[in-house]
Amino acid sequence: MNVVVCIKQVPNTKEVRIDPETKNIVREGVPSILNPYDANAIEAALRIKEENGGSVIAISMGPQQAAEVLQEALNMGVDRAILLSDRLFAGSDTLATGYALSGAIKGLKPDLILCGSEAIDGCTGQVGPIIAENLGIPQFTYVHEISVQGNSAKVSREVKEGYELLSCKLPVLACVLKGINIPRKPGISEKYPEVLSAKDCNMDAQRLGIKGSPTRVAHISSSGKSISSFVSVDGSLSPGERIKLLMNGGIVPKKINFTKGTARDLAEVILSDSTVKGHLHS
Amino acid sequence: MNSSQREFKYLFSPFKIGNVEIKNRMVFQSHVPYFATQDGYPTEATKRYYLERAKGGVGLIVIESMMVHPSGIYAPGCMCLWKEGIAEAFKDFPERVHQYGTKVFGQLSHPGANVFAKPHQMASAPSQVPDDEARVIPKELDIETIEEIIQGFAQSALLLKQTGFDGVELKFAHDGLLRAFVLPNLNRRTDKYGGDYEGRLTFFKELVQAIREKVGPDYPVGVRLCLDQFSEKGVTQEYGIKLAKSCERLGINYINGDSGGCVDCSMQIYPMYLPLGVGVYLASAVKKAVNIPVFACGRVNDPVLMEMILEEGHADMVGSARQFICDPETANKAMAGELDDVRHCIACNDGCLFQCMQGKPIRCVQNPATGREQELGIGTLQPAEEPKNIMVIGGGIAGMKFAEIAAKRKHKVTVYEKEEILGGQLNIAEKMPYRAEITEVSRYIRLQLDKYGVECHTNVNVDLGLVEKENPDVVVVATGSKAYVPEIKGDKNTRVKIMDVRYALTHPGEIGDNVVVFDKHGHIQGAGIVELPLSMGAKVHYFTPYEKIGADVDPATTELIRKRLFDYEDFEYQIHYTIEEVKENAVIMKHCYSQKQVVVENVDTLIYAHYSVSDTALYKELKKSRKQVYSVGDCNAPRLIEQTIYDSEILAREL
Amino acid sequence: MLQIDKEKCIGCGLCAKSCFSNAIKIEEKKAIPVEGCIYCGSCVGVCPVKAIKLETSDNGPVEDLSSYKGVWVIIENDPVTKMPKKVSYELLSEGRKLADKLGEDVYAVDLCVGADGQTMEELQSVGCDHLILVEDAVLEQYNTELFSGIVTGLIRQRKPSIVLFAGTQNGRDLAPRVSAKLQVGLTADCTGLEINEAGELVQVRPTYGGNVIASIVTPNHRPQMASVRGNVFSVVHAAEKKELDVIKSEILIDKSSLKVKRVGFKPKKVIYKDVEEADIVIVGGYGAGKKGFELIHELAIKLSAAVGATRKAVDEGWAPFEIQVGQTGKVVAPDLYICFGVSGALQHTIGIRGAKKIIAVNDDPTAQIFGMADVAILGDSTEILQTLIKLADEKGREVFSVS
Repeated sequence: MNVVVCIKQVPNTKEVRIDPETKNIVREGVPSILNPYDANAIEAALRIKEENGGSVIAISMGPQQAAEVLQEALNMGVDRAILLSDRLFAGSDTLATGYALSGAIKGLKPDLILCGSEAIDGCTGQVGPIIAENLGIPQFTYVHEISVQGNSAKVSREVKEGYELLSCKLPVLACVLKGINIPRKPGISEKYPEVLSAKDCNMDAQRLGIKGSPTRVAHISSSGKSISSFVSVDGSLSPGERIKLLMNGGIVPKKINFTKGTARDLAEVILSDSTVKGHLHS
Repeated sequence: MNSSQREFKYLFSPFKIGNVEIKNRMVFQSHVPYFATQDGYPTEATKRYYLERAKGGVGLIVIESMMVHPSGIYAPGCMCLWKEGIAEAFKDFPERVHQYGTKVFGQLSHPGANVFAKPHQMASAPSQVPDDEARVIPKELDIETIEEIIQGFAQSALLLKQTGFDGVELKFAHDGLLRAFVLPNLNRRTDKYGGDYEGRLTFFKELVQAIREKVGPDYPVGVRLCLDQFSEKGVTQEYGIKLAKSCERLGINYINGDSGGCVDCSMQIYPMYLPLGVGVYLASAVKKAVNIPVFACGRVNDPVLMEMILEEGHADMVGSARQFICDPETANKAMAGELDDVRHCIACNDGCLFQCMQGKPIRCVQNPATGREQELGIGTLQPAEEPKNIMVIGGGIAGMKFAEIAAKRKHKVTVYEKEEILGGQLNIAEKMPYRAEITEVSRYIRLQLDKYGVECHTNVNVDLGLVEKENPDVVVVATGSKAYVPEIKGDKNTRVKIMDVRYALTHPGEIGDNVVVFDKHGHIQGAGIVELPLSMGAKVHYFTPYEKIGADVDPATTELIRKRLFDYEDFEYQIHYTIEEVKENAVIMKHCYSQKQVVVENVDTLIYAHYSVSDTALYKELKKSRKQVYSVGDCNAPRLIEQTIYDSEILAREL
Repeated sequence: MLQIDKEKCIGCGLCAKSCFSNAIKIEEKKAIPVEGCIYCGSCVGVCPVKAIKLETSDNGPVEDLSSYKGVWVIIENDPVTKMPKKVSYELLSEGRKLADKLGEDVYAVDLCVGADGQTMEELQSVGCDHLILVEDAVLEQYNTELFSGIVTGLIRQRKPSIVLFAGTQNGRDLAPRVSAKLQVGLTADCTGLEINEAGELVQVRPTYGGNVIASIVTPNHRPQMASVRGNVFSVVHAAEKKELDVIKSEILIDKSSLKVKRVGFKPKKVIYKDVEEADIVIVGGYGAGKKGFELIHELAIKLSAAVGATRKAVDEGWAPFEIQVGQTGKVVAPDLYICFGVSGALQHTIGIRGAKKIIAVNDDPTAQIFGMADVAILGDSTEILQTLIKLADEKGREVFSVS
C-alpha cells in the first residue's frame, strides 16, 4: 500500500499584510506553518499504513523553505519526503501546480493519494481534483472518514445534508476534512527531505509556472477589513466620544421608536420585510 | 455543556521573552493587593496570593508595583525595594512560584505626582503641575534626585534579578513618573530632561540604560504602557504607539498594554458597562507597529476570548488581573477542557477595586478565597468528617453557594426554592440596565450544584411540615430578604406610584414618564435603576442624601454611570437631599443641611432605593423546634454578593 | 469527431474503460470509435501512446477568443426537491448581467432526472435564454466522473466564453476536474464578477484569510470559469421574460462502468443552516425560552433562514454551541437579523454589527438590543412566533412573486 500525501507550507494568514508602497504581499517575517488540513492528511495516511502496511511519501511543491513542513511530516513518521523545487514553478496557479505535482507523483505509482481539503492561504481546494484528473484516477472530496481494504477504498463524504458513503477501486485521490482525525505530535526523524527539480520529473516547461497558468492576478488590494472580533474606536474622536462608543460596543445607538400592537400586527410587520418576502417557502 | 469543545491552538503554546520561556500565553497582570506591611515588606499573605495563581496554571505573574526610591511611595502597603532586609523578605518566593512552572516578573514604579495616600507627604514630578483631575501638587524634582531615582530603578532591577525574579516590568502606564516625563503638559523642564519629544524621553532612556548595565542585555525588561488615557491631555492612541516604538528602539523586551487614568480608573479597570476585550484593539494597533511582543488586556475574562486574541493576531500574550483573582484556576481548567467550570469575572469591581482604592486588602465578590488563600484557597476544602443530610431553604445565591460547598464536602444537600428558578435576587438584579453579566454568579454555582449532585426542588414553598417530613440533620435557612420602603408622609393619599427597586425592575411597564428616584441605599440599587426609566424616555430626577450617586460603589463604575446618565436630556441630579413628603402628584425633597425644600411637580412614579429587610419568619420558627438550624445570606442581614458568598462558604466549611 | 490512430494504438483498452458512454470498442486489439461520444476527452488523456484526437477545441490557450460565446451556469439541484438550488438562480441572475454587457446569451446547463415546467418558468424569470438539458435517471446523484465528463463534452462542443459553478461541495468537486480536462483556469469562491474593458471576466475573491482581495483574469484561455458560493449574489427577476430555448442533449450512460459507487447515505440529524452564510438569521435569546427555540426552528425552515442563539441560551442547553452568535461564538453579517428575547448584551451585539437590518422582538423595553434595531417590536416572543408561523403558511410559496 503506497500512499502519497500532498502537503503545503502556508503563511500564517492572520499575519499577512500588503506593503502599502509596492502593493505586494509582505511575506518576510511572516511565520509559515504546515497547512492545518494537510496535517490531518498525513495522519490519515499514517493510520492507513499502520493498518495495511506499505509506505507513506509526503510531497510538496514550494521554495526551499518548504522543506520545513516536509521535515515535520518525516517527524510524524512518513517514510519519505520529497520537495519539488524549481525556479520554473514560480508563479504557478492551481492548474500549473496540479500539473507539476501529478508529474512527480506519477513516478511514485501510489495506490492512494491524500490531500487536505484546502490550503488556508488560497482556499481553492482545486489542486487535489486537478491532480486526480491528470493521473486519470477517481477523486473523493470533503472526506470525513476513509478506510482501505484490499484494493478498494471506502469513504464517508460530507455534504450539507449528510454523509455520502462511496467506494471505489484503487488508485484513488481523497481530500480530507479537519474533523477526520487528530494529527499526532511529531517526534524526531533522522531522515531529511529529498529535492527534485522539474527536469528530474520530465515535466513540460510550457505547463509550469506562469507559462502554464491560465489565470493571472490583475490586481490585489488590502480588504481593509482585518478580521477582529473585538470592539474598536477611532482614536481621533474626542475622549468622551470614544468612551461612549466603547460602552455601546462600538456602535452609535439608534433612537428607539417602539412598534406595538397585537401579535398579528407585529407578525405582519416582520413579514412585510422585503428580505423575508423573498425567502418565504412552503 | 457545549462550549467545552474548543481546541486551543495558541493559548497553551510557550513564548519567549528575552531569555525567559513562559509556558503559556496567560499573564496575571500587576496590581497592588495590599497585603504587604505598612512599611513596605511582603508578607506570607502576599506570597500566597500570587502562589495561588501560579498553582492555578497561569504562565506569567507580574507582581504588584514596587517602589524604587523614597521620594515616591504610591501608598502605604506598597513594597519598597530600597529598604533593608527586603531581599530576605522575598527570598524563596520566586522559587516557590517556579515550582508550578510559572515565571514571575516584578513591576517597578515611581508614582510621581500620582500618590494615592491622602494626605500625601510629598509627591515629586518633573514639573510642579498637578495631573489631570488629581488634587496633588508635586514638588519639582532636582537633577540629583532624578539621578538617584534612575539608580533606584537600576538597583531594584538588580535586586529582583538576584532574588530570582525572571524579569522586570517598568510602570509607564496610566500614572507614575515615567509617564509624567514624556507628556508635554506635565513636563515643562528646561534642562536635559525636558524640551521636545526626545528631550522628554531622556529620563526613560537613561533609566533603561542604567537597568541594562545592571541586569545585562538578555534579562527581560518590559513596560506597562498606557495606550490611551481617554482624557483631554493624556496619552492618546497615536502617542502610545509612538512611545511603543521608542521603547522598542531602546531595547525594551515587550509592551504590556494599559489604558485610562488613575483618578477614577473607569477606563483602566473596566467596569461591566464596557464590552469584553475592550482593550484589545489598543494592543492590536501597537502589534502592527512594533516587532517586539505585545500583551493585550481589558476585560478578558474567558480563555476562549484569550485564544481569539492570539488567533486573530492582536497580541502575543494575554493578560488579566481580575479574571485570575476571580478564578485562579482559569488556566488549568481551560487546559483540561473544562471551560464551563471557569468562573468568569463580572467586572463589578465591588470586591477588588473598591477595596484597593481605599488601600485595603483585595477581595472578590465571587471568590471568597481572595486574600484568604491559606484558609480557603485551592486544596483547602476537606470532606466533612460526618456527612450530613442538609436541607437548604432558599435557592438564592446564599443558599446555592452553601449547597455548593457543602456538597463538595460530601454532605447530602437538597435545596428548596419557592420560585420557578434558582437565583433569588440575582434574577432581578440582572435586569438592571447593562448589568446582565451578573448572572454569571448564578450560572457558575448552578453548574456546581449539577456536578455535585445537589437535588434542587423549585416551586416549593417550605413550611414546618415539610421540614418535619424531610427531617434533615441540618437546616440552613436562606430565605433572603424582602424589599422595604419606609413610610413617607402623605403616602396614603398620593397618586404617585411608590415602588422599590425590585418592583421597578420586574414591572418596568408600570414606571411612568416623570420619575423621582430617591437613593437611600447608596449601592448599585439606587445608582443602577436610574437608567431604566431614562432609557424608556421618562424624565428622571435623582436625589440622594449622600455626597454622590453610588456612594458605596467603586469610583470606576460610578464614573461611567454618571457619564451615561448625564448624556440623557431629561436627567436631574441632586445630592444631600432627603425625602420629606409626597403630595398628590408631587414629591417634596429637603436639603439635609440647609433644610430648604424642593418640590418636584407632576411626578407619577417614585422609585425608593432602600435597604431590604431580612425574611426571618421561618428561621425563627425552626429555631424554636429544632437544633442545628442556621441562616445565611440576606436572611442574616441584607448585604451584597461578596458578603453573602463568604457567609455561605464559611458556614459550609464549618458544618 | 473522435479519431483514433490505428497505427499508434496498442489495444490496451484504457480508453474504453474510461468511457461511460461506451463510445469506444476494442476489436482485434485495436480501439474503434463508435456512436455516442460526448466529447468529454477522458480517453485522450488516458491513452499512453497519445493515439486519440478529439476534433473540437484543443486544450490550452485559444487562438480565436471571439469564437467562444455564451455565459453558462451549471445548475445544481437540491437532492430532496430535485429542483435547482437557490444558488443556481443567483448565478443565473448574475450571469444575465454579464451576458448583457457582452451581448451574449445565458445558458443554464441542467444534468438531472427531469426538468419540469415550473423549473423552466423559474429559469425564464431570471432571464435565462437557453436550457441545455441532459436527462437521465442516473443523474439523480452527483458523480464526479459522470458530471465532469458530460459538462466537459458540452463545453467542447458549444464553446461558451464563461462557465459559472455553484460553490457547494459538489460544485467545488466538479469545477476543478473540468478545468483540468480542458486545461483552463478556474477561480474558486468569487465574491464579485465583472466584465472589464477588454471584455474579459474579472473574478474577484478574498484570499489570505480575507485580508487581501484579488482580481483575477484568464486572458488567453476559454472558457473563463469561476465558482461562487450561495448568498453572494441575489436573485434578480428579468424585466422581460424571454422564450426559453430548450436544447435536449441525449447522452448514453453506462452506469455499470462508473468507477465510484454510492453505497449509502447517512442524513445529518439536524442540519443547521450556516449562520455565517445565510441571508436571514433568526436568533433566540434567554427571553425566548426552550419553547421559543422550537418555534424559531419552525419559522427558520419557512423563511429558509439560519438559526442562531445567544451565549445564555446555549448555556441553558437550548441550542448547540455551533450556532452561538456573538463574541465567543460566530460573527454574522446577514441581510436581515431577527431576534426574539435577546437582551442585546454587548458580547452578543458585537457579533451582529455587520447585519444590514435588525428586527428585534422583546417584551422588555429596556433591552439594549433596541438601541441597535431598525425595527423595535415590543411584544411577547412566543405569541409573535406562533402568529408568524401561521401567517407564513397562509402566504404560501412566494419565491418568485414580484414584490
